[in-house]
Amino acid sequence: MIQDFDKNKEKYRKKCFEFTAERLRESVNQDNFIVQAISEINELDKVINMLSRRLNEYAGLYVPELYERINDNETYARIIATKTRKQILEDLKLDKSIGFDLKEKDKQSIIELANQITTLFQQKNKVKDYLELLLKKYVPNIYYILGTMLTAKLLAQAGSLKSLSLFPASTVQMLGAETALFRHLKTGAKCPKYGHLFLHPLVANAAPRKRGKAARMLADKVSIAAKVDYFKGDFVADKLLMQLENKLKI
Amino acid sequence: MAYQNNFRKKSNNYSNYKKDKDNFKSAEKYSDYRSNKNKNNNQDRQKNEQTNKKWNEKKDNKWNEKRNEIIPIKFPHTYIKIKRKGVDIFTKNLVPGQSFFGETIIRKKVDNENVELRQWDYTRSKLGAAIFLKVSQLGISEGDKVLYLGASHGFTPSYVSDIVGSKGFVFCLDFAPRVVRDLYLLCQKRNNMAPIIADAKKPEEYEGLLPEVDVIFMDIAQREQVEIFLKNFKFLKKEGFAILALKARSVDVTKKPKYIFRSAREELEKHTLIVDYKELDPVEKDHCIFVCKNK
Repeated sequence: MIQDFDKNKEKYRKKCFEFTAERLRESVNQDNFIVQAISEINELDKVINMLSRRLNEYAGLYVPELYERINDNETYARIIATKTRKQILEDLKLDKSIGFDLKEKDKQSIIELANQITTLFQQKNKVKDYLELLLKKYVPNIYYILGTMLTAKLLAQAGSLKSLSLFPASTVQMLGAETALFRHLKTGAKCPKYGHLFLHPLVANAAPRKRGKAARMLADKVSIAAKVDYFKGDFVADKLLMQLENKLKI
Repeated sequence: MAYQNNFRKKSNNYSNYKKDKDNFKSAEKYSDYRSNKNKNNNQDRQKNEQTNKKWNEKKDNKWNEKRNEIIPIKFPHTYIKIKRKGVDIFTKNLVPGQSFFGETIIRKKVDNENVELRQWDYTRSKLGAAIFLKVSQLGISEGDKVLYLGASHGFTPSYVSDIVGSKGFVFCLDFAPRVVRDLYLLCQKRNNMAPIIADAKKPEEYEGLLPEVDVIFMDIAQREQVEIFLKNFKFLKKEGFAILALKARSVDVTKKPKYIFRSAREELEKHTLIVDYKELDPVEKDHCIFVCKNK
């Protein structure tokens, strides 16, 4: 402990600032990038859905038939941004449309909105590619079992690879189902079987009765893979996945 | 008749209501009841007017004078403004002209002195809630050195630094890097604050940065809150104060908060002397505050 604090207040205050600044600089690591990227993708998804609903309403004034044919937001936005009304109607093989023929002035804001949405889609794809690169290097074992989005979601929920690797398999199984789990602990309602892991095809495609078992087995393998990744072991994920698939087929 | 006097009180009760109904079978008794009821109504009205008068006088004498007036209270550099319901809490701003979290700033004359006051939103901080609920003592006086564990963005620490004044000092400690980033920028603007990023469970890490401290305040949501609190007592001087804001839900979700408060109190009483204890219930749910003194 410091004895002469009152005499050299400024000196010791500066010491505190240097100590924290150094630790703050050290604290940035690979986990932060992954968490930021996955949350950016989630927010971009929200924004894109909101804007494309608006575009559907807006562009429906002059080509209402288009949205029926194309249910994909990305292609819909691209078509409206690039093609004129005549070209669209020719592609759809329609002589007459219910829509109103808008003037150039009124069309401009619609086309700008469509352009905005296409750029947002491009950005989302770029971030996804970046995430894939990060995950392949940082957590090759978990990535092989779960794929890009699920791995990133689990890492974001756990906070870091360190804490994910220290979790037991039962905690990994419950990640993403916190509200249901605490409701179960508090009031005695039914216990949840899976959280984020439901997005995995092995769990989602299993028979409804066997989903709980599938989620448990998957969580087992994921927690093993996380431990291998954190302590930088060899690549074992292909064996783990083989075991899992063999078990679930029977 | 006995039932006439008690009728008003008991009429809410359904079983008594049935009995009364049987009594009204004959027409004479019912008419009696009607006339008495009117009398009672008149008496009540008179009573109400009297009480209203008294209440209005009280209002004129006491409340209306002090309402919207800013009064200093027993803690240093803190003021309250009486409103119709409850009070607003203010502290004297150490850095004039700056508000850090979007709080309102007032410039006023209090006791023939121009003061700049910063409003303290007591719903955002547990220390503010304790002051709002009239805690008897905090132990923080002017010129104190304070160790604040669990500083977060620095909302409450900024008010503690207001209370302590320019001669005092506040060490703000937190563990999460994201939060300390904000805290660092806040501390640069205030001359009597310093940030420390460290784990409160390991006092050895920040031992070299601290002098002997007059007051410890702890507000962290951990399972072993009381143990960590007692671990940090080695920085506290003799007969110094220590304040613990306990969150029952982070100790155990399944147990009732009152049980947790009691067990924490028993553990604290072994090592310290408890000066005050307050449950912050209407403001902060399932929280309580302990003010302790080092033996």
